Formats: sequence, C-alpha cells, structure tokens
Amino acid sequence: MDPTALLVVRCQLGEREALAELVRTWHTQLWNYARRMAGDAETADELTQETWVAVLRGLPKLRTPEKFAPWLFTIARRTLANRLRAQYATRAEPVAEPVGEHDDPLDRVELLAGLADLPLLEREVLVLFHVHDLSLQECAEVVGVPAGTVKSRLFRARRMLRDAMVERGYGR
Amino acid sequence: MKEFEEPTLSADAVLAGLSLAGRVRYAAVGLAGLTVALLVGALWATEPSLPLRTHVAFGGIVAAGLGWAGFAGWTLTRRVPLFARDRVIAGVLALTFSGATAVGLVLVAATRGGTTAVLTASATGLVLVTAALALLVTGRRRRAELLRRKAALTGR
Repeated sequence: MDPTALLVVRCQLGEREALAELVRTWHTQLWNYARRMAGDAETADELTQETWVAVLRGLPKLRTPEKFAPWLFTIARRTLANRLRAQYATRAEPVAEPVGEHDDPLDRVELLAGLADLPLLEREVLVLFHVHDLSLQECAEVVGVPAGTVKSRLFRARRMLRDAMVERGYGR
Repeated sequence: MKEFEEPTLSADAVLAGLSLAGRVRYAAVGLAGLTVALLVGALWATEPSLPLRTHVAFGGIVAAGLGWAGFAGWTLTRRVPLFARDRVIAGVLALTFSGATAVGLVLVAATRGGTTAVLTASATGLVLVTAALALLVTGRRRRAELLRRKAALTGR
C-alpha cells in the first residue's frame, strides 16, 4: 500500500482531516527545499505558503496520486522560479560532460555544508536527488529536462562541491 | 540522506492560511444570484409598461444577481479547490436551484406572457436543469472512481 497515494485520494474525496495530515506530512520537506534553494528562512516561509495554496488548488485534478512527491516539487520549483527568475534566466546550460562511472557517493556533511555555495541549477538537482530522495526520472520531471541532463548536472554539482570543500580545507 | 531543519513557519500556520471551508457556500451564493437574476429578468421582460425608476431597479437587481453568479463561478473555478464531495453537494444545490428557477420561469411566462414566452421559459429551464444534472452526474462519477481507488489502496 502506498500511504501517500491513499492520503492524496482521501484529500481528493474531500476528507478534511486528510488534507491536514497531508500538509503536516510534507510541510517540513517542502519548507527545507525552499530554504535550501532560496537561502533564507523568511523567503522560504513565503514560498512554502504560496506553494501550498497552489498545491491545494491543483489537488482535485491530480490524476496520478502515486506521483504526488514530484508533482509537489514541480509546483514548488515553479513558485521558486517565479521568485528567482533572474537567477534562473542568467544561467545557460554548460556543454554536456561525460559522466564518470567512478563517481563516489557524497558525504552527507560535505553536501549540506557546501550546498549554499553552488549555483542554482546544480544545487537544485543535488537537493532533489540527495536530500529529498527523488529518482533521476522524478528529478527530470520536476526540473523539466531530460534525465541525461539531470545526470550530467549531478556529476558537475558533486565535482563543484568537492572543489569547494578542498578550497575550504576539507580536502581528502 | 536526509537532514531537515525545523521550519520557522509551522504546518498549523499553513493550515490556518489555507481556506479549507466555504467552497459549497460559494456554490450556493452563485446559484442564488443566478436564480434571482433569471426570475426578476423574466418579470421585467413580461411587464408591459414600467416607469423608468422601476426599469433601473429591475436592471440593478439582475446585474447584482449576475454579478454574484459570476463572482462565485470565478472563485470556484480559479481560486478554491472543489473536491469530490464538494462537487456532489454543489451538483445537488445546482439541481435544486435550477429546478426551482425553471418552474418559476414557466409560471411567470404562463401567467403573464403568451405561448412564445412559455416555450422560451421552458427551453431556458430545460437547459439549466440539464446543465445541473450533468454537473451532478460528473461529480458523482468522480467520487465513485475515487472511492474505488481508495478501496483498492486500502485492500478493502
């Protein structure tokens, strides 16, 4: 049984307590996503509230309740992109790089310490993939790019993160 | 890999900011506005000679009724979510209001107008009742589909 899908279906039926449970279950994840992307708690508060309003409005029409998580983050990202339009617009996708097979898993402390220093596009995929545990395909749906692009962004992001950590003296 | 900070905005604060009630209220207000506009409009159209200030008054009432109907329609389609249960309740309300309006229109037309007026009123009433019935049927179908899904997910 998929507990999130069941919760979404109960919400779509109009069960009020299910709506409250849905918000309580996902609020911390959503707020942390906004916090990590926007950088400050105040903006995260506003973005989270805006996202919940949009989520509630779109919820009756969601046809695939089992895909609630990527759908939620897609709305959050759209809300964020409206706010950070300038930052998203100024970045062109760098030429695709080969993705190394020997790409080591990231250290949790390394990731959380270095996230804020990364550019928006790279930070976004790291947060979605490593912090919120979305699959490559789900990340691709949220960001609106092919899975291959997500993979290459992830590779680049990890490398940038390691370089930044080496510069800070965390080098291995 | 998960590491979440405690949000500065609580889930309860979010819930307080989301308007979870009042959706059906909008449907009732809109339907009442539409009913008033149609019935007063029928009286207005079938009254042979009226002083200017009565025309203005009828016009004002019809405009206000249509205004409320438009506002409720816009709110329900753009601003607030209409979940399956709300859609069924809104459908029942729509059927009740449209049925009453249809009867009212035909009565006004029969007592004050000729055959053409009765036929026009009947056709208008029929369109309203059909539209309301369609809303109710699609609402009930969606609710049944979701109930089936819920049963499948809970294994019951």
